[in-house]
Amino acid sequence: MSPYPEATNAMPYLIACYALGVLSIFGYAVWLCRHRIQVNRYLAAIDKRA
Amino acid sequence: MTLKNTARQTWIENVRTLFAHSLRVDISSKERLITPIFFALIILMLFSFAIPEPDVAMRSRMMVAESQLAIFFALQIAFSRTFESERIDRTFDHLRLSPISSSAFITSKILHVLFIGGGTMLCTGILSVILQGQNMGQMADPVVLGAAFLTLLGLTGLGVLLASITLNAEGHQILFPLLYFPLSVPVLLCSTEGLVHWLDTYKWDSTMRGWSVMLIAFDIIYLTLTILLGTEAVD
Amino acid sequence: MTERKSKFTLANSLTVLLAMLLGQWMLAWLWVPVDEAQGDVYRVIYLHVPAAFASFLSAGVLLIGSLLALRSKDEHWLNLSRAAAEVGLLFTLLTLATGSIWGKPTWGVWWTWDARLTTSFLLALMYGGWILLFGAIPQGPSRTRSCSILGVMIAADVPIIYKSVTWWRTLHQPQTILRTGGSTMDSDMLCVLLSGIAIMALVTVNMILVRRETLRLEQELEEKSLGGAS
Repeated sequence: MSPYPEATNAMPYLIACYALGVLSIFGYAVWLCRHRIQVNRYLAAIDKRA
Repeated sequence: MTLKNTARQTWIENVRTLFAHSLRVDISSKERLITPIFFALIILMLFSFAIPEPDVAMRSRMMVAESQLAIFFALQIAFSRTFESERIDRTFDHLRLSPISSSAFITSKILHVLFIGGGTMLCTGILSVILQGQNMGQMADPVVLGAAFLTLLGLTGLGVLLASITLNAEGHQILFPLLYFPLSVPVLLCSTEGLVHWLDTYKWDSTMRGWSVMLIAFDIIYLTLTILLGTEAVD
Repeated sequence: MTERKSKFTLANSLTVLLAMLLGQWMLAWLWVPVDEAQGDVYRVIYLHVPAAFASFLSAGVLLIGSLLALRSKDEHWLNLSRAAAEVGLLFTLLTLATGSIWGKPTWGVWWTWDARLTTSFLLALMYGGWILLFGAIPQGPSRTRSCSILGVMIAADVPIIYKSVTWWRTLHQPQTILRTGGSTMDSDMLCVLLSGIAIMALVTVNMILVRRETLRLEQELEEKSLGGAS
């Protein structure tokens, strides 16, 4: 018998964990790239004005 | 060689002078010495209101937990004000012009905080023993005294270093406890677990040795970091 | 301009690494056998453990950035420390959240004051404290020194966090990968887990570097816009 009786119906927990992983890691990566593009765009605008 | 000896003597004299000066400032105002003890007393009182009378088996654990927490918070008050007199008296500006080394300054500060912390710890410990109805002889136990001293040493190292790095921070009164609490938890855990085990069994076994080694390791880490980096921060 | 363009390869490699991470998760879900005792829920390990390693790795980068900043007194190294603290906080929070969700079906509770949980929680607080301290001190040599010293202190605490599990033996399972006498895991499981840790480590380093470059560009932007205004 499994020492973890509650672990048999654990799919929701597993899905919740990976959803959190996708949200945080991929969300942060998307924010990182978008923010970077934005900063680059501002810099290019300043360079152009100069 | 003689030059080296003279330099060392000057350094020790500097530490002594700075330490004596800090103590004189504290004694003249008294408020800095009394506030932490007063604060510890309030926490001990709150504990006795909030927690029902513990049974005999739990008493030593309760006493250790209560006194450790009271000391922890009281010391936090003392540490966060480590450089307060220097800030008010503009001592840093004077030190910048004087030949006193920053290592002498930080060492005198550690000694000063150890002195205030020791006093606070002693008063809180005695009050805690009285309020919990314990035997006063427990306070004179060399293991209890040793554990208390090692805890104080670790917390002092950490407190002085954190006080020096938050010196220029906006809202350093709130930032200090935010950094001090998580970093000091390991020291408190080791000392609490070790003391509870000792008061329960009075046996110097592998568990006691483990906690003591870990506590000493923390002390070495924090004090080394304070001496190495504290001068950097004060500079 | 070429310099700025070349930095985009960093972002591109992040995309590739994230795709690899997704692939590794697919393997973890579909290919690796089920654990006898825990069933499918054990697959959380392929996210939880790499995230924990990533949080420790960030502390290592924080230490390097802090030491370099202390040694050279150059404020630019602080960007590396700041990036490491932010990414470290993200991964520590992820480790705590996934650990908590995993704890419910296996231990029966969402949270317990176990050694590694407590110390990971403390690590998250310390990363948060570092970011707060960075924000509270105005730009200058004082900020570089103070934040770098705190960075060294946080990194000095990390080995103790890892070691702590052997001191407090509580609910948390003992170390399964790095232990004397070899790993206790099945070879397929171990292979996927180790590859997951490697990919996550690369993702972490890449994220830190991208963030560091962005912080540098932000400073450049600030200087240029202030210069233009004056």
